[in-house]
Amino acid sequence: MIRNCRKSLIVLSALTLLVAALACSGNSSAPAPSDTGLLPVPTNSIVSTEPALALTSMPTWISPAPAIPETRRLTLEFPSRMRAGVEGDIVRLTLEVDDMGNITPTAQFEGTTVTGGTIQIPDLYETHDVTAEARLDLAGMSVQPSGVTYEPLKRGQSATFYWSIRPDQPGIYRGTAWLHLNFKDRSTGGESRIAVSAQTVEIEAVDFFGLSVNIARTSGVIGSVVGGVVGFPFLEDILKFILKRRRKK
Amino acid sequence: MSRKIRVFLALLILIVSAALLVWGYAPNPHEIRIQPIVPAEMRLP
Repeated sequence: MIRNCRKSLIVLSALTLLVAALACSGNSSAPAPSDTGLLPVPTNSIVSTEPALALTSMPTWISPAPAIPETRRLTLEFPSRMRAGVEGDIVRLTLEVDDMGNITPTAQFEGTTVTGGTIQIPDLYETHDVTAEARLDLAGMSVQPSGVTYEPLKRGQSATFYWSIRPDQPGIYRGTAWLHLNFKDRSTGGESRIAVSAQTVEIEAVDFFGLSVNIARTSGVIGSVVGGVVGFPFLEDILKFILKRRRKK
Repeated sequence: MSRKIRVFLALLILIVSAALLVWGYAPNPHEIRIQPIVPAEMRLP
């Protein structure tokens, strides 16, 4: 009888240990916490952050990088067609503050509107000197000033760049208007640069049936004088005709 | 007859001259492109 009781106790304790071992083995695939108390980063977190988020099951707060806290508007104005020859024209690139730029991110999904909140982004103007850098590349066309031009970018102020362009020959000229922003850290002096915009520009230079602008203008002036002189003898007749009609009335 | 030819010639010269002057002094058509730039595009790299 006592033997049977001992056997039953041994079997019972063995079963209890087995159940406990099975219960503990359920988390065996999860990584063990390190000595520092931080969860180790999974190896596949480099590819995607999704598994890491799933493992930690905690919201991850990423502090946003410092940025210019203004929505701006980049305006590029250029002649799509111009006369070839001595005449030039202006290309204007303006980076101005968008007054209507306080956009709240909004998404609509099946009639439900989701509106995003405000994110506090560190102000770059407080820590960095910002300079706008612009360049107009137009192959085959005379561009003044050539190369890169700089203009400091201040809070609430716009930066405008002007180029004078002049095509010598008729044809289609293609190029790119570049805008970069340069950041210089006031405390460390470190510099960094980002490309903001690269817009393609296409300008067609035309002539008047082979005549350049100067020849066309000069011919127009001379022709008007000649036409007036040729038609002048009849001007007297026309005036007489008008005066006669008035007298009759 | 010569009067008619003269009038025709005068008109022709004036029309061609006017066309040349209009073409020579007309303002170039300008294209304006506006691109909004949000703060996310103007942040440190």
